[in-house]
Amino acid sequence: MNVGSADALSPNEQEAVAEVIDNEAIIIRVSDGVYYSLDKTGGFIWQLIQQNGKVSDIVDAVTRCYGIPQQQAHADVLRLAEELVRERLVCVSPNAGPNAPPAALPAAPAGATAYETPRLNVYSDMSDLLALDPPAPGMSDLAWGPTDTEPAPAGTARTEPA
Amino acid sequence: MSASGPHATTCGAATPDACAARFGRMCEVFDAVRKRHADHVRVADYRFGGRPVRIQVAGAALSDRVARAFAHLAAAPPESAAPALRIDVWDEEATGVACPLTGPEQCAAAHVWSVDHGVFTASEDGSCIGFCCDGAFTMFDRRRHRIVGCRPSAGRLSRAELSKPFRILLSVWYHDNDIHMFHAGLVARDGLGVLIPGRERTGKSTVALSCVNAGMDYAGDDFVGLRRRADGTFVGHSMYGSACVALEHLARFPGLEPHALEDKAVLYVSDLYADRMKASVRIAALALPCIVDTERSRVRPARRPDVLLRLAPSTLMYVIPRPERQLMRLMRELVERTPCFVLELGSDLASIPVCMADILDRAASS
Repeated sequence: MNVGSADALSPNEQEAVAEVIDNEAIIIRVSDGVYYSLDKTGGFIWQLIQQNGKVSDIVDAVTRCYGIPQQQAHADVLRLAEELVRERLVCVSPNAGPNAPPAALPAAPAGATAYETPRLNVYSDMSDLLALDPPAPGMSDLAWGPTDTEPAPAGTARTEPA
Repeated sequence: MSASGPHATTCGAATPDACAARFGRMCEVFDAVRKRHADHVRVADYRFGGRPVRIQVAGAALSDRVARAFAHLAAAPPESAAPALRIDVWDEEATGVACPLTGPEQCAAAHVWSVDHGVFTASEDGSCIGFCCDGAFTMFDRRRHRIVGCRPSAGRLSRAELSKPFRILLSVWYHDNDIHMFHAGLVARDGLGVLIPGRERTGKSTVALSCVNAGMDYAGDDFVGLRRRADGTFVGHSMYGSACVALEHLARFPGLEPHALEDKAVLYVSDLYADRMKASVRIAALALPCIVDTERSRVRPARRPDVLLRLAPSTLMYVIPRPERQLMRLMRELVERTPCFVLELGSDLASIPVCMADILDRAASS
C-alpha cells in the first residue's frame, strides 16, 4: 500500500502491542509472535505514529529534530511507514485533511542530532517456534474482568514481603 | 466478546447459564466424591500470590502429585471460612467416578481455542473458562472463585500437569488478582530476587538450579508471578516448587539427577531444598541468560531496550491466555525501574551463583 503525505498513521492495536523505552520501540505482532524493534530515528517516528500523526507532520518533526533535508526525511518516513503497514503494525487513515487535530509532538530524543536512516528490525524466531501452534486467546478475549467479581471473601488479604 | 484467531470457534451451550450448569454438575460430582471417599480426600491450604487458596484432592496419589508442586506455598487455613480461591479435583481411576461431562460437552462453550495441546473454552461473558487436555478436564468459575476438575489417573499425568498443575486456569486467577504470569525464573538472596527471563533452552533452569544448589533461595525456573506495588516496586511470587530440565542438562547436576521423576525431567526443588524456597521476594535485578563458549560465566550491564526485546515476546507468547497490552506496559515499567544485566553462561556451573551474587551486589549499590 502506498502511503501519502496527507495520510495519518496510527498503531494497529488489533495486531500489535508496543512500548517505547529509552527512545527505542519494541513492537510485537501478537497474532504470530513476530517482533520488531525501531531504534533511534525509528523510535522517534514510532512515538509520532502513536500520536496518530499525519505523515507530513512526522516529516516536519524529523526534519526539525535532526536538521536533515526535508526531501530525505520525506523519503525515509514514507519508506518506513509503508514497511510498517506491510507488516500490519500500523493503520493508515487516508487524507487526514487540514481539520485533523495537530499531533502533540514528543520531545526530541536525547542525542538526536545524529541522524540515522530509520530501520525496522524484524525478529521471527518466536514465530518459527509458534508456527505449528494456533493463536492462543488473549486476556481481552476473556471479557469478564475482576471488577465484575463478587467480592473476595473477607479475611483473604494478600501477604507480601515488605 | 469476539473470539480471536482462526482457531477460535463458536459452538453449542453458549450461554453463561449453560456454562454455569456444567460447572455446577462438576461441583456436584466432586462433592459426592468427597463424601464417598472422605478417607482419601486431602485438604490443604496455601498462599498463592499472598492470597489464601484451599485445594481438595480426592485420590491419594493425585493428592501427592499436586501437593508436591505447591508444598512450599503451604499455609495455615485462612481466618475466614472461605479462601480467595478453592480448587477441587478428583482422580477418576482412584475414586471410580468418571467425569460427568463427555468430551464434546467439555468443549461446548461460546468460544473455543486449541492451545498448548489442549482445548481452552470460555463462556460468552468470559466468567467461566475451561481447559481439557489428555483427558484432564478443569473448569474455573471466576465469579465464584472456584476451580473444579478431574484427572483420568494420577499415574498418567502429563509433564505439564506434574510440574505445573492448573497452570492455564491459574494464570487467569492470578491475572484477576493483579498478578501477572511471567515466563522467567526467579532466585533470591536475603529477600531480594533476580528475575531470569528467556525462552526455552536459554538457560533459565540451569541458572535457577545452579543458584539453589549453591545456597541461594528459589522461587521458580520457568513461570513466576509479578505484581507492581503502589510504590512502583515489583514483587515476584513463586507459583510452583518444581523445575523442568532436559535430561541431558540434568546430568550436569549429579546431586539432583536421581531425584527427577523418571523420564519426565521434572524435579520438585521443594523436596530437596525446603528451606531455600521463597514464596515471594522483591525484584532487585533482571539477568538475561546468554550461553557463551567460555568456561567461566560473566556479568555485564544490559541495555534496557535489549532486555525488553527478550522479555516481552517470550512472556506475551508463552503465557496462556496471552496477557497483551497491560502486561507489555508493566514489563516496560519493570525494565525501566530495575537494574538489568546480561549473564553470560559459561560451562562452569559453579561460576553462575557467583555471578548472581555479583548482580545482587551491583543492584544494591545502583
